[in-house]
Amino acid sequence: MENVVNIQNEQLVIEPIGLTKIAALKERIAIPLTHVVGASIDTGIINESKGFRMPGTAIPGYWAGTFRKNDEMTFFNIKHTSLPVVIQLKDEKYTRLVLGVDKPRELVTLINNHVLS
Amino acid sequence: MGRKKSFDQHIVVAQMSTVFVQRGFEGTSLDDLVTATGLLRGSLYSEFGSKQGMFMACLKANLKKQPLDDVTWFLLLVAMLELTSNSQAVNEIVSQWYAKQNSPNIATQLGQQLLKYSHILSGDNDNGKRS
Repeated sequence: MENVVNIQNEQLVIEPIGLTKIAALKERIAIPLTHVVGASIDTGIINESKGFRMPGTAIPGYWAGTFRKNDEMTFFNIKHTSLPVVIQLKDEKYTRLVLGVDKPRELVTLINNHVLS
Repeated sequence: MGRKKSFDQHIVVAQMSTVFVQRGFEGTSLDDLVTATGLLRGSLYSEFGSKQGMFMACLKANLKKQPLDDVTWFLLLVAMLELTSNSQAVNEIVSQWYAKQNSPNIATQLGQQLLKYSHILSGDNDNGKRS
């Protein structure tokens, strides 16, 4: 588990934990739920080219930090052994977040039930 | 894999619908949808938000345009088997569809479509009975 993700006060709050917190260079990301478009399990996304790493880490099998590709900024904080949760955003610095979490399917359901109609 | 930035949503929805029917919701990966549509992963996410958003776009479009087509029935079956129990948004779409059904035989129709979807029948026109 690389991140703890919760919904608090109509915000999606992502807290990188442990060593990944240092590598991802982020204390905490808080996104208003109105800027969250949806969440998906997406195993293949970590096998794709991630683009240029801005600040972040380059440990093999572990992606943390900001990556730029096709004019989009994506925040990664995930190990290759984790099931990736992809969270699509709008009107935010990041176009999407790619996260490793403890219970990925439950998180995807939770987010989608808050933002999809 | 193509790198088209603009695309015809009707065509993309039809391509994605075929994948969801063939593989179900959980069985469909983003890689499958990228391959089927020729679009970038980022384009799919930007347009539909999530895999569930992609499925919902397929279900809504098919219910609107071809409510009696096999693809629509099969998407309804996938929705009921995999999504309505935990997705409020998909549950709402399917509940609204169900509420509008006037036929007293809707359960029979669903059963017949399930038999068709299952490929366990020897032919397509035997009305659920083996000859």
